[in-house]
Amino acid sequence: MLRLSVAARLGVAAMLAMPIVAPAALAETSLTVAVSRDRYSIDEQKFTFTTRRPAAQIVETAVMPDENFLPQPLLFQSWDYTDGIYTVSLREGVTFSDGSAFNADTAIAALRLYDQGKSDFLQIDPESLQKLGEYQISFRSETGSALVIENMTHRGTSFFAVTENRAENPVGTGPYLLDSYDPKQQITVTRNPNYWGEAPSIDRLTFRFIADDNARMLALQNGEIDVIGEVTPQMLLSMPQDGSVVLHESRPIRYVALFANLNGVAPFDIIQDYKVREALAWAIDRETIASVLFAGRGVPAKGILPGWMFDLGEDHTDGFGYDTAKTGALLDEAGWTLGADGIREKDGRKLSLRLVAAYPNVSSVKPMPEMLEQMFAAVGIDIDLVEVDDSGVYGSTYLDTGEADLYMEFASNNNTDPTYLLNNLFTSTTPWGGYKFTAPGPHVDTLLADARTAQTREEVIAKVRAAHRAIVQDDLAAIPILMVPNFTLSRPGVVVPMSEYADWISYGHTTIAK
Amino acid sequence: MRRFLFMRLATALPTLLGMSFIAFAIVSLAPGDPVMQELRAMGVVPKPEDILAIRAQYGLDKPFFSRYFDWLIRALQFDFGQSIASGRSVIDEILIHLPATLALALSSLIGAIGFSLALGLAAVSAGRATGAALRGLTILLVSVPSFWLALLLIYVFVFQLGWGRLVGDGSIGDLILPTLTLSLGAGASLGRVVYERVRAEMCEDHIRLAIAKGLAPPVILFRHIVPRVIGPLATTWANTFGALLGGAVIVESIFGWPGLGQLILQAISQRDFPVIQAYLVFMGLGFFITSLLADFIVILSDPQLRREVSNG
Amino acid sequence: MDDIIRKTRYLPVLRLHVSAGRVGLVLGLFLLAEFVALGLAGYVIALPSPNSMDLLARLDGPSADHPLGTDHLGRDVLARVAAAVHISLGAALAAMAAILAIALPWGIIAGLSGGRVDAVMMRLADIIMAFPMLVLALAIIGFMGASLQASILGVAAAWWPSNARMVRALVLAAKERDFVHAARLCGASRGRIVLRHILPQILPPLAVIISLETASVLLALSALSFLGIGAQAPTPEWGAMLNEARPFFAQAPHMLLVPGLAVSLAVLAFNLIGEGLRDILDQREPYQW
Repeated sequence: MLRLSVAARLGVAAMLAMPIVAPAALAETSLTVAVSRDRYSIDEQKFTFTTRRPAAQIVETAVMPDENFLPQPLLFQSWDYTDGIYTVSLREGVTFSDGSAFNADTAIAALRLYDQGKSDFLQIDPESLQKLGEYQISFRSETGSALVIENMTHRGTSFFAVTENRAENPVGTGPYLLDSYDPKQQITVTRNPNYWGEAPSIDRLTFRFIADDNARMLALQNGEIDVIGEVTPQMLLSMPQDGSVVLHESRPIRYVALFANLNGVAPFDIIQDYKVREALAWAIDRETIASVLFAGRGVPAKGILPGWMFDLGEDHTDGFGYDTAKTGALLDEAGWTLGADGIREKDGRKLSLRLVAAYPNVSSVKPMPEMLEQMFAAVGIDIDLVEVDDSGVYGSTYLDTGEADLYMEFASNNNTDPTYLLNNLFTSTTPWGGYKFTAPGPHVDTLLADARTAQTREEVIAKVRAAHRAIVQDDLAAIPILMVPNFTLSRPGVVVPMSEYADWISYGHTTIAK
Repeated sequence: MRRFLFMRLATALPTLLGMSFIAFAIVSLAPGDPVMQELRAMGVVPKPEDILAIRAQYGLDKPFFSRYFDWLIRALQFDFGQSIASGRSVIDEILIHLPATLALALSSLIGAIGFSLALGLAAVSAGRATGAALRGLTILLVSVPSFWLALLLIYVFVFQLGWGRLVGDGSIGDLILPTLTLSLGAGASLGRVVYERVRAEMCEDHIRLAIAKGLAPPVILFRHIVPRVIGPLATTWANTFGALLGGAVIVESIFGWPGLGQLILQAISQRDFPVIQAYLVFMGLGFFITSLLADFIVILSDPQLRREVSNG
Repeated sequence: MDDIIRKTRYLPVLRLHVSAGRVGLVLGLFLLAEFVALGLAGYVIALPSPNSMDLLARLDGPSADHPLGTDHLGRDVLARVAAAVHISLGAALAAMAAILAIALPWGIIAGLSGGRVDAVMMRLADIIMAFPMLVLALAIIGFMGASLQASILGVAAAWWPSNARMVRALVLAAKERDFVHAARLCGASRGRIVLRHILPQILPPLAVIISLETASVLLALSALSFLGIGAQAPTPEWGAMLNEARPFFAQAPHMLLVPGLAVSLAVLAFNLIGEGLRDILDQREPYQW
């Protein structure tokens, strides 16, 4: 009797203690990620709040990229493209965070809302949006493109519920809800309990905007943040090697390349000689750059698109090695002979090239420009190095005017549309103004134009492959140097699932060891 | 007094207008076309109608002077337009950052004034050797670059001692290190002025008389010297405040202090010209207000001027 | 003579009259001479080229091969600091020359003309003075692209109004002297008055102003290079070297200390010279209590 009551008492005590213990065990997991400055715009015509950098995971897109950069279903369950019409089945059982259902009506409303923005690169004909059923819609492309679905992995095309003030209260279908936003300071999101998909592991995700690269790094080392989302080569060079900072990487995706000004006027016409470009390509010691920079995780590149992307394959380009003797021979053949001061000259003109290092900004490429300058000086090429941290000045002073020989760029194809990057950088009809100077010519223009209107995937990829080879091998409009992974840095015990597509790194699925 | 105020405003008006004109001109004439930059960021194929529409939206299709007048009229109603980068109204953008910069500038000014008075007065009243040593310290502090001092302070206080944070969100504790950095530099430079002014006053005959009368040094300092130096000192204080408001950009970025310095650096790199124009106007206004305050102090401290102003 | 004896103290050991100002002046000149020597060191000692990279020796501390260590690309810090002497000091002097080229005529004309011309000229100077230096410099750099030349022009554009004001104040004081009135009454031409009567008067205080302003200009230029909008890589320049040292200062403090010391000492030199000159020129002696 006594024992029973003791047991009973213990049992009651245990039951009473549970509610106190249980919340402690289910304590909220939170993560703080530092990114660069706040780039959100709440302007209705170029609304990027919560969709771009950092993608705050409140809203979702129609499709997401898989590991080969092919679109896989997210909010679109399945789709079909015949005779210029896209027929799409929507995912069922999805609701927006304000309770409204995701169905054909709200999907069409969201697409119309997107269409009002200036950045309409989907180019869906808004008149053609049709509801075929509760969860079925169809539409046409304004330009007859077969690649609209591929372009919908871009987070800018996310689906918003049409509400009064999405700048303050964005309503989406994603795994998180907006908790607070201090402009230019931080944005905090919390878990959406009614999310239709796989629940994320982090309850509370905070993105802090720290514009200064050094401050980001120091904040991580000081324990003020958990993860750095935007990592520069300088950070990797200065990373402590004692394990207090952990590196996470994806497969190599970002290219470092020198774009050549193929259509410039004097004095920027030396580079128009193919032999000079080839000589430059052979003068770069890619192995050394790869081993010294980027914590040794970069690889010498044979092109600007990696072979695994879009199933392009590794064999369609040969790349270039490091052979200074060959460089010398090529330059001698082209008439550039070594002068007394160590610089090559021809007909009294010095082999001096202007190299502008500015994209995306100088801190993300330093110190590669200086290393290249030294490598080129060793073979008798004088480099006039211009480093501009201001992309506006880069564009207007050097790119749009064609007033340089070489443009160093560090970027990636952040889009599952196979023609996106090449079309914007290497055609004379590029929407990106200044890049008409790097266009190799009408043969590439035609290849890419055909690729954009080809009606089967195989055709598209074949044409892109041919254009890519022309650009990085036969015409050398771009001299490839390195291919580098996406990086994040974190404190020990934090594992971030990496992706080659920077906007799709899912911080919500980060695991934190206890 | 009212007449003085009115006269002051009237003479300042051309200056303010000139400033607004230069602010507008600098930004409008600088290269870097925000329209093309925007389109480029979107990845759109710009049809000619698109370009024209965007130009019209920003009013870029009108000639220079009519743009200036449009802008001026709206500016007088405190409507500086929308930030190109973020879409928020420019006034909102500035108000996000202004409190932080004001807090930093004010506390740095107070720190600098205190430091300068201590340093300058000590240098004047101390003996030859100590005085020379203090002056030497002052010159040394003036010569050290503020950004280097900031980095050294971070190294000592944040890394070695662990006292500070690097990621400032505008709370008071984060203010200490940036204020210290700015106060040391500005305080040393003000200290030089204090020293010079007080020393110049000490050469005057009325001080000779005061010493002859047997007054104690503190009395001489506060009753005879300070009233006469306060005028020019106040003017330097006003200038220093203006400099602190505008020139703390580097210190703000090193310490991650969320002030106007960060705003203007970002705005310039993004060619966000409504923000740049508004910033320049605010800087000018700030300069104008502080110099007005300085003039007030000058008048209040000088009985002759006071009489002159209240009579005429 | 009496004044000088009272101001200075006679040190029997050195058999010299010293005062704080004189000591400062000599110290400043000495520092400046040291910098000149450092700048010329490259011709005398065999220093490695400031731009040659030795990637295996990155971020090394001071050693026999590299007396002041190496930077993040393996470049010798001593060689870079020495090479930076020409560039940093040269830029500061060039900026000062540009400032004077505008401020001197402006101040003299405004001071001598008086009246409306004076008021207008000073009003224009005020308008430009109201802008923070950094913003003017950034605007000019926006026009010209970031470079050392652009930052020199930016600093000159921001600094000339305050210098013009100072010149004008000196000219106003100078032109009230009796002999200047006399010269004018004698019918001396404007040019003659300026050259033979005004300029000699304002030169000594102007020398003080020049050295003190050069110090400020040097600080401003290194600040702009620190922000990355002045001297461009790989140009060795003290401010730019400080900028490059920022990510590494926990691992390699020498990268941060050496250029910072160089800037501080160079600015100190100019400040000491300026203050020393001012002390010597100032004949007044404060009454001691």
